[in-house]
Amino acid sequence: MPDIKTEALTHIYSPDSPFESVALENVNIEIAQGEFVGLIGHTGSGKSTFVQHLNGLLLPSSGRVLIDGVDINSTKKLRHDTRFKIGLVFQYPEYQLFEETVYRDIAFGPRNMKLPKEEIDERIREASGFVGVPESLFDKSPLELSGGQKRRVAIAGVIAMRPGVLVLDEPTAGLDPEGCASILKNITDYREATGATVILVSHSMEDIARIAERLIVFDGGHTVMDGTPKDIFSQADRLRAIGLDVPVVTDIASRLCELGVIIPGCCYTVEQLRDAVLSLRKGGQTC
Amino acid sequence: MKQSIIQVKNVSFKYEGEENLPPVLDGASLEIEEGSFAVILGHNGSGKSTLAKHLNGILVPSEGSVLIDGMDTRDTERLLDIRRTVGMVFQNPDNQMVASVVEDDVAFAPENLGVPSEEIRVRVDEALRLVDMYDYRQHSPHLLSGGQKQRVAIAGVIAMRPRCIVLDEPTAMLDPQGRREVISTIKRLCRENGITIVLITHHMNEAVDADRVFVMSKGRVVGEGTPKEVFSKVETLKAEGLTVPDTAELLWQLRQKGLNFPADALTVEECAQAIYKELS
Repeated sequence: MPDIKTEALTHIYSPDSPFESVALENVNIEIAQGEFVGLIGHTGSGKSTFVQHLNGLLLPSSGRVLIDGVDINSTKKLRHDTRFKIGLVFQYPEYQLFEETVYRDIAFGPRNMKLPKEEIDERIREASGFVGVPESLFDKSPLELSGGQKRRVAIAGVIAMRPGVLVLDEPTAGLDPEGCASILKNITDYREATGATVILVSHSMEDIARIAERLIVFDGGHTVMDGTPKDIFSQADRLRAIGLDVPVVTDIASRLCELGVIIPGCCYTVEQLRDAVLSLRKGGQTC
Repeated sequence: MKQSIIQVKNVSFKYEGEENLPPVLDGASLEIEEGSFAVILGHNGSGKSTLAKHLNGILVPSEGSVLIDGMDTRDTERLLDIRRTVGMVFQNPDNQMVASVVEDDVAFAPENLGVPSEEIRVRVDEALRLVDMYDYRQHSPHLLSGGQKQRVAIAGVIAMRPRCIVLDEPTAMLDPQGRREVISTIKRLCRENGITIVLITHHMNEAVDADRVFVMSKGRVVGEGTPKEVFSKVETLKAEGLTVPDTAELLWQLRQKGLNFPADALTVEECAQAIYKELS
């Protein structure tokens, strides 16, 4: 399982043209094997540009991307191999299904890895299991599936490569609450079963507060905050200043503080605030 | 009571080629009052997008009827009037842009309606001002943010001067900033300009300020009421695969622990006040 490190990573779109824009500037991040990291930032903050560097889809304008200490862009072969180690699930991945059947679509990644047929088959079944795609759908055309099912097939196609790092850009966008919860559970299950690193880009503070162990906040192409959800959400004013929301629960806790009810610790999930209120009621103090 | 601009009466609908499957709409009924802000909630596959497409005659019922300001959507002679009355905005802003300049895009619908060009100019400017995109009128749509594109799409609908706008998950592809822009725009159109708004969404928080909330499941309207009424029935919503806003969820969990909290505190302020009262 790889460690990820970026050194002074900078990316400039359309350099030397009137449309030149600096998307990432001097980003230094280290992510250890097995971490569950949430990336947050408003549109244009650089987070999607960042994740596309992790498997060599974008080349740095300057700086380096190291996986296990090796610069992935030092040779073409290394960059190619990185695509199998770091699985990237794009936004709206269901638009990228293209094969005739669900089975063949999931097989695309492992086939490119030149694995034996039996192993490809085994991996397809395993990956489908993780994301809850029943084998009865294998012979269907991806076009016949519902939106939620398509997205699962697309994620299975990446998981079938058994990447040590799973990077997902807004995997729950546009899904209903049940669909969101179930995709997030698939992701945590995959991580528990394989020990993979997960990097999740999300606009949903509620989702990210619930499942990530570390948050990195992007703003204007820089990383501006890095810490546990507790650290990050306790700086609600700073998040709001860069145009981000805090979880509704954190808003309620801030308002309670203004009213003079001191909520112990920082709350960012419903369960935390519920327990805090219960403990205050059992003889805690207000002021 | 004000007149209902939209009347959906016992509508059933099946897509062609799906005759053997259960109907997508199965006896759905609802009425929406002119000038109100209505929200339709439901999980994926509950039939809410299919219902939306019935509201301006993109689809017509297999059984039952849809009346728009009294006009039956099956009456093809009235179709143009129906589409002038109810405008639609969809989820993906990129699929709704037709021109390479913002103001041309907004002019597209009135041009098609045969509105005289001086009048189009007036309507386009007015529509862009209403969604706060007037300064971008000469820009190229593809360089706008998602929230800005979606507001241009809304302006394109406003330029037809509809009395009602139906928005099918207009914020699903937007970031929090874009979501706020779009929601505050449609609320303003409703409150200040009297345009009836029908918002279809997964985001429970967007329903908090609605006049009326409808809950769909299996092709029917299974719940209806003010946001306070609908979100106080936490168990019912959960059974339909939906959630409630975190404010309501928190107070519900506290009630499960035996505390006496109101079921209808939906805003952050109401929720904080309720907890404050209980603790002090």
